[in-house]
Amino acid sequence: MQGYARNEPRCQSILGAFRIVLSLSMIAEWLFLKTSMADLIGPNGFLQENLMTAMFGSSPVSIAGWSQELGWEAKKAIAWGYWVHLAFLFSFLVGFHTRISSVIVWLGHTIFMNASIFAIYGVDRYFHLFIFLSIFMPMGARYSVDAYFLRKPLGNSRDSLLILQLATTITYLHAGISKMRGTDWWDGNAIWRAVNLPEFRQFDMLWLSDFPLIMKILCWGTLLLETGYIIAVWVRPLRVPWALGIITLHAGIALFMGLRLFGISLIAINFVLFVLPTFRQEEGIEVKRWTDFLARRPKTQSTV
Amino acid sequence: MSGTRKVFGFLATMHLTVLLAGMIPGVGNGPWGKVMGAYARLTGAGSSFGFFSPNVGNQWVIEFKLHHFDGKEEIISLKEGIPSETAIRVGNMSRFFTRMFKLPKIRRSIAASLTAGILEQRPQVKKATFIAKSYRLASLNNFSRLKPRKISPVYECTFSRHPDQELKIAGIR
Repeated sequence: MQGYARNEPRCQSILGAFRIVLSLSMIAEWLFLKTSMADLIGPNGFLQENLMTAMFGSSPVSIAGWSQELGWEAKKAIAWGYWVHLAFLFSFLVGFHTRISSVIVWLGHTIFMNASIFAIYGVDRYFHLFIFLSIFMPMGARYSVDAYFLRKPLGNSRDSLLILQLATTITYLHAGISKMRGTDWWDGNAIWRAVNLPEFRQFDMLWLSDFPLIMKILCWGTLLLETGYIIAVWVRPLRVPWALGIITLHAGIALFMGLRLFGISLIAINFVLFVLPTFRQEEGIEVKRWTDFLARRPKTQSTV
Repeated sequence: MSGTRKVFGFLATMHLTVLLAGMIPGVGNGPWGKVMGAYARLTGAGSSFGFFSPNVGNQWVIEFKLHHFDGKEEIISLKEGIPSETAIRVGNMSRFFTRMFKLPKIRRSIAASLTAGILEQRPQVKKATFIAKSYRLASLNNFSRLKPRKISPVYECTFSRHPDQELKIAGIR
């Protein structure tokens, strides 16, 4: 982790920032889906539960079955599940009984992911991956109600940060290698299609056909950024420029493909995991920032 | 190194290995695939992170021709009037129809399910025609401004509201 924050208090601060970013992104997603939840995961939604069961067999997550057991209408059960999940997302955001909150948020997200496998996309996969890891990490050590009341979280912050960084870069490697298997990412057609297909088109981008070389360079750049991330973030001179490259890629996805939640969430996550830890800070001394209002000073000076 | 840290380190290594294994083609098949699939459904590790890969390809557009009780007709897309975050997910659902298109019974059931969702949202609609069109965007090499895309209908099917539901709606009115 050369060049990254290495002392426990600093890593705790980064994990605290990560918790805030992750929970805010998940809250945003939940609020965006408020009016559509029954359409997406309800037994009479766009893809009805009976149809899914007939095609893929019964699922352990059955909204119809559960609501029947409760004696409720499916819509009522979904509404209750929605508000309970939202409440625990807020609890995770402020770091109130952080570990328990993270377990319940993970459980809720897992139910959402499995209730309709066709209602999810990339952003849900990232949230799922991160919320599961959060259960085992001292996410509430800083900027949290738990920290204010001196509840000591279990776990090593430095190891946790390293695991989050590795997990993130592995997903980019996966994305890059999968793209390399096709032809669209080599001949420039991938980005050309992605920004011009009706599903993702935000602006008229047909003029890009006049610049096929730029399309190729953008596609190759994406392949390089994604596959090389896992190595570049451990090479000091490459770390920040590469992370900024990934951030730019997500800004492009948000702006030109309309995947705003996905783009903005991953910009924030990459910033917290790879750019924030490189900021200089005197070891063991708290920096006075507005976000430190809930943080406690370390009782002992940490060693590097 | 403490015992807890060793256990944590071991479990984390295993988890990251499964995450890495998710990118190997075919690893999701066979008996190991079932275990990995279950682990992925619980933890997110082992899922696919290969977005827009290996190719972006063309897509199908799904529309509905709505026939209202009062005789009015209109054409809407599957994503009409829904928030953008939901629209992305509904787009995924419509891609499921595309994937299952070769199976006639299943494609009709999926079309019926998607149409039922539209009828559920719009009580003023008596029946709806599900229309799937293929949208082919010319590749960069063959692109011509005069003919940038080719849209051709591939499937059409009309679904009426159940008579009981019609009576219920009439009663509400």
